[in-house]
Formats: sequence, structure tokens, C-alpha cells
Amino acid sequence: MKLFRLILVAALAALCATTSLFAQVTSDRLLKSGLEPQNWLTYSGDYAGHRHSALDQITPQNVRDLELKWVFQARSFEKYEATPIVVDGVLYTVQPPNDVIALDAATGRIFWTFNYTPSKEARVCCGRVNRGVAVADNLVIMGTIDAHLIALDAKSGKSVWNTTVGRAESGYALTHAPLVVKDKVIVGVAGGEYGIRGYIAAYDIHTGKEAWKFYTIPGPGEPGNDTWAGDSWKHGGGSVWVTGAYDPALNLTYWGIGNPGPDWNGDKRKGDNLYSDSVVALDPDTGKLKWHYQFSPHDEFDYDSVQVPVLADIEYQGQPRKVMLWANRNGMYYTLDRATGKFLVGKPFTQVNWASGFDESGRPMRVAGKVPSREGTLIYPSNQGATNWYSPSFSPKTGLFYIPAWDNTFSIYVKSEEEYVEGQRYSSGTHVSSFGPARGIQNNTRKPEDGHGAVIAIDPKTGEKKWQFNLTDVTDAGILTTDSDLLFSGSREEYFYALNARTGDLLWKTALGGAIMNGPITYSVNGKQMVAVNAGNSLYVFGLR
Amino acid sequence: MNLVPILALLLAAGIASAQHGYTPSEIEEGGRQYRLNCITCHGPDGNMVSGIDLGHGKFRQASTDDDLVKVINLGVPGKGMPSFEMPNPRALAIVAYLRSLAAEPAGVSQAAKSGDRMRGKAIFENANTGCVNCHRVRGAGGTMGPDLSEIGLSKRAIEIEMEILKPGPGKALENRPVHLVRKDGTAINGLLLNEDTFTVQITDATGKPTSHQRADLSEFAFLDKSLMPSYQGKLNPQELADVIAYLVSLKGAPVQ
Repeated sequence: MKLFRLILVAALAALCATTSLFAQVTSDRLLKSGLEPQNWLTYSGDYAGHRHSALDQITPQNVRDLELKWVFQARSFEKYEATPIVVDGVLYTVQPPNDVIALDAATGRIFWTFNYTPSKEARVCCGRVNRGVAVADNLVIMGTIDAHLIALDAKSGKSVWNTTVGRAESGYALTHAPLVVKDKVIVGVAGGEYGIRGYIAAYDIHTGKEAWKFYTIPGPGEPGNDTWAGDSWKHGGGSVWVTGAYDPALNLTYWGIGNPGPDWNGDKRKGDNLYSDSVVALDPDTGKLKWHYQFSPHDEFDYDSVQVPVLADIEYQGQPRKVMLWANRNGMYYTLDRATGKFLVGKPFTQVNWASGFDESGRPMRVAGKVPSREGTLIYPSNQGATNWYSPSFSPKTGLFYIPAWDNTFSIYVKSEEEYVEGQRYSSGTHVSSFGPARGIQNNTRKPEDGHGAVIAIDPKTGEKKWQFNLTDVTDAGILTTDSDLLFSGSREEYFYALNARTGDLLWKTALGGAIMNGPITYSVNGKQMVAVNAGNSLYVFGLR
Repeated sequence: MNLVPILALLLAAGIASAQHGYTPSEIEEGGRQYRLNCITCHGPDGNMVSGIDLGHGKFRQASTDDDLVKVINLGVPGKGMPSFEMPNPRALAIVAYLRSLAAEPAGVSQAAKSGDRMRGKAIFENANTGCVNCHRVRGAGGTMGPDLSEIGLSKRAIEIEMEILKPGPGKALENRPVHLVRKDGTAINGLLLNEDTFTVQITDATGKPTSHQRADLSEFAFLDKSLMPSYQGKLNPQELADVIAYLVSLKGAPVQ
């Protein structure tokens, strides 16, 4: 009998071991992602949104020796915005719009493909795009442009569960990489140009069942609903389309919220329009709001605050402080206290003419007359913003915050009247901009006075610029930094390049023949550090010779 | 910053319809798509199909921007308009371009209507008039100005007339005149083809496309004025009409 018990215990132990083996990416691994820099486990590389790696095999001295190791060409002409995820030698990417592909991170050979055809009812304002997957447990999880959240078996690519998150016919869509916190998958809905009422929701990782939902536009009786005139809250936008961050010590998850709807005429939605253009701090277990800070109250310039929240511990005014770093589409750089939401630093990082500064509470002081008009009003920065969804980076080594910026671009805003119709665009105006979301012709023939792109390094303690690397064209590329003081980014000019993170000096560049529209990552496989970036319709992976 | 072209584009973006925001690059792309897909039937001015004047908002089947996108995508069965299945952004760019046509200041060139293209060809090729000294047509002519072999596909008569009478670098985004000086002291005037953070591409006085590293340049500047002289008063109205008629006929195929 004792022998039988022993066998039973041994069998159970073996079963548990097998189970834990299948649980590839545990919650603990996600919390301690910094301990395994050979992998890139979340959209931003860690919960803090740093897009920074401790890998240091590639250095300012040898970066010139980078060579192409492999290329994956997507069978898609949609914009390729997905950040790859790398787990123990397997790289997961999303071929737009919604095909998940698992590849050998060393060679680029495909292990499996999950093909998904979104509903024809899917409508997305700005491209049938996807920004990447999340991995957790033994799952790969993707949001789709027809607003489904799909979990795949990481080993086989077969569907495990599929949950409807929103009504695609009304303009709800999922375009960002989900964020997994503990046993929940957190996503927010896109659709701010279609008069949606935005929300962030959490789903049980094992079943896909909804655990909580936080509306980014408060309903009647909820705090903040009185910041919307009449029934305007019903179609107030407040979309979410970039992945949030998580602070385990404070147990708060942070998300940037998109523009209020309709975009360019706020007459029907008088008030501050909470929580549009805000950052919200939520309890990841319940979805309860802990605090918020609104960057652009009553926005009429489409200044989505859809940027990655970047969490850093810095010395502020002589004291250690848990802060959040944020370069906003509205042209301002912010440092906030991430425990309370208190405004600490606010400073323009490019030409701004809609606000003249901040009051003591951190509310922007508006410039009279700088609002959309029937005849057109010139506003800096442009509708595309002084930055946008492109990932910034924070390097704990340099203490600097790096912004992919559009410098001195502008728009002329015109407002008009429009009634909400389900599933149709709801923006009530138009704009003409010095730069658009994409270059119409392949040649760059812009004028210098229309503005330009840049990588800007900011000291988060003061908001002061440390250096600026100017580009001739604007940029849609995110930024990666490493412990060896390298900064990688790309551009609409189709170069992938490395700068010295301390000085901004150019160290290396290569022409990839396609605009770079994602954030680079780095990982290590077989002891060799690799750098991966999308350009055009392909994923390029570089390593040292 | 010169706001005039921007305001023109703003008007062009369709304030009246104002369902979508259009950018100059969308309008530019729309023009390209229009020339690729629509110009054969509708003509450069959008008025070659009876009862339709795309350049002035006169449509048979549509009024809103979304209507127009539907017509582009689905066609008009039985009326000769085929379906052009294309992604919505591309169709919307065409709509942006059509809306921009309506905002042009002077409408269709009257001069062009009475012109004789063969007489215009002779005037164009006359060395005293000077057009051919700078512009090429089907491989013959100078190189300091844009090649005009397909100008009838890319410009409307009114635009050609404006360029002849009031040439300016501001309107066209491409081919702006530039001046650059190499570090060895060589100065080059040319037309800009393309540029990026590290390089510039131009055509020089010989018409040869050349690429330059910015690091090799001591100076790079846009010239304020177009290299093209105004022909206001240099051509009489009939000569002007003839030249316009000739240029409008240039669509990449020989003049019969």
C-alpha cells in the first residue's frame, strides 16, 4: 500500500511538472521579465513600458558589424505595426490584419500559422492593423479588428477560446496587443472616429469570460458624466488602441485614452469630456478607477492620449519618486506621480499654440481663439500630433526618456455639423495638415517649414531636452534602448538606425526599403543578441557578423 | 510658411461636404489614382462624360463622399461606369482629389478650348519661344524643366495655363528648384526629386539624376523662385491657347 501511495505521489508530481512545463509564461515570469532579457515577453518588453533591454552584446563600438540574419515577408499589404514577442526561441508576430505566426527566432522558419479572416463588418479608421499579441500561461492572445479576443495554444496555434469584445458593425475594434495581469487579459476598444463609447475590459485567461469592464466615458450617475453635455456621452469616443502598463507594487494598471467624439467640433459635447485624452489608473482585479489625469480637456484636435504609459523610479526634487513619463500627442511632455496622478512636470517638446502653459493643478491654460472654426484655424501641433502611438523608451542607464517626435507640424482645423449614424464616421469637420498619416507619393518632397521628424531625449526630472536627432521626414517608428547605451529606431524614410543614447550621435544605419511602423525589439537566441524591426511589409532581424 | 497654398488645399478638402479630413498628401495620392483609373473616360478636367462634371461637384449618382466611394467601388451598372474595387482609403483619396478640383479658382481654361494642338506643337518647339530649351517631350528638348511627355495625364488645362502665365514653386510639391554646393566648392542648381535625412536626389542641368550625401554638401537650399519664366504678354491669346491644347494632348503617345 505504501508503495502504491509512493507511485501515486510520484505520478502526481510528474503531472504537475508537466503542467508547469506547459504553463510557458507564468505570471511570475511576466513580473520578472527583466531577469530574462533573452526574451521579449510583452508589447513594451516589460510591465513598465520601458522598451529597454539589459542585453549589451551589441555596443556602440560593434554596432557597425550588424548584418541581416533573416527576413519574414508578410503576405499582406496592410501596415505592419506588430511588435514581435519572443519566448524561449520562438517569435510570435501578427501578419496584418489578424494572422498569428510563430517562427524560429534564430532562422525565421515558420512553425505554425493561425489564419483569421475578420468579419466584413469590421471598420477601422486608419488601417486594418494589429500591434501584436500577448503571451501568458500556454496561450498566445490576440485582439482582432472585428473586436474578438482570441486565445491560441502557444504550441500548436489552435484556437482555445474566442470572445466577442464589441460590436464590429458599430465601429468597435481591437488593434493593440493585450496586457495580461495575473489571471486576466486586459484590452481596450478602438473606434473613436465612429462614435463608440469606449471601454477597457478584463477577461479570464482560462475561459475568456468577462471579469470587469471600465467605461472610459462615464454613464449617468457616475462621476464625470457631468463633463458631457446632454446625451453626448453616448457617442463620446474615448477609444483605446495602445497597450497599457502595470505597477505590481501599487497594483495599478495604466491606460491612455483616445479622443472625444466627434473629433473636430465639440459644440455638442460641452465640458471636459472625461476620460477622453486622459490616463486612467485602474485596479486590475476589479477595474475600479483609482485616479485619472486629463491631458487635453475638451479636445477638438484629435489629440488621443494613446501612448504607452512609461513607469520610472527617479529622483525628483531630491526625493525618490514613483513617476510616469508621458510625451503626449498634444505636444507636451509630462511627469506625473503614478501613485496619485499628481502633476509634477509639464513642458512643450515642440511648437504648441493651443495652450500657453499649465495652472498649479496641471490643467493646460488655453489660448483664446485657438479652436476649430468654419473658416479654418491654424494649430500646432498637427492632427497626427507631436508624437502618437509610436513607442517611446526609457533607459534606466541614462535616466533619459526618448520620444519619436513630429517637430513643428501643423493642421488647419475646420468644424462642421454632423449627426451620429451607427457604424459611420463621426468627426464633424476636417483638417488640412502639413503632414498626413502616410506619404502619398514615394518621393519625399516636403518643405522644411512643414515640420519634420525627430528623436528627442528628455530629462524626466525637468522636462528639458538633452539632445535631438532630426529627420527630414516624419517618423512612425518606436524606440528601443539597451543597457549598452544604444538607441534603435526607424523612420518613414525607410532607414533603420542606431544612435548613441547619451549623445544622439548616429552610429549605424541601413536602408530597408519600407517605412518603419513599429517599435524595434531585441532578444537573444543561442547566445547571440538579435534586433528585430518591421519595415514595409517585412520583419527584419539583425545580429552581429 | 506660405499659408496661401495650404488654404487653397483647405478649400480643396471640401469644407462644404466636410465628412472627412483630407490632407495634401491624400489629395496628391488621389490625383495619382485619378490619373491611373479615371482620366481615360472622365478626362483631366473630369467633364468628358456627358452630364457629369467631377471637377465641379456635378454627379449623377452621388452627393456625399461615401456615395462617391460606393460608385467607385460598385460602378454604375448599365451606365458605362465599371466597378473599381480598391481599398477605401484609396477611393477616399480620389474623392479628396475631386473635392479639391471644385476649389480651383478659375475653372476650366477658356483659352484651351480654341487652341490648335499642331500649331501649339510648332510654337513649343520653336527655339525662340524657348519651351523646348528646358522641357523634353518624348526624348527631345532640354532638361532643366520637368519632362512634359505625359503632362496631359497629370495636369488640367487650367493648371497648365497658370504654370505658363504665373509659374511658381509653391504649388507643385515635386520638382522644386534647389541650389547646392559641394564641399569641394562645386555649385549645382537643379530640381529636387527626393530627399531624406542623409541624402538628396536632384536632376542637374544636364538632366542627369544624381544623388548626394548631405555630409558632402556645404550648402543645400530651396530657391524661392521657379526657374520657369512667365509667358504673360510673351504669347498672344491664340498662341497661348495653341500651346495649352498641345500640352493637354501629351499623354505619353505620339501626336497624330
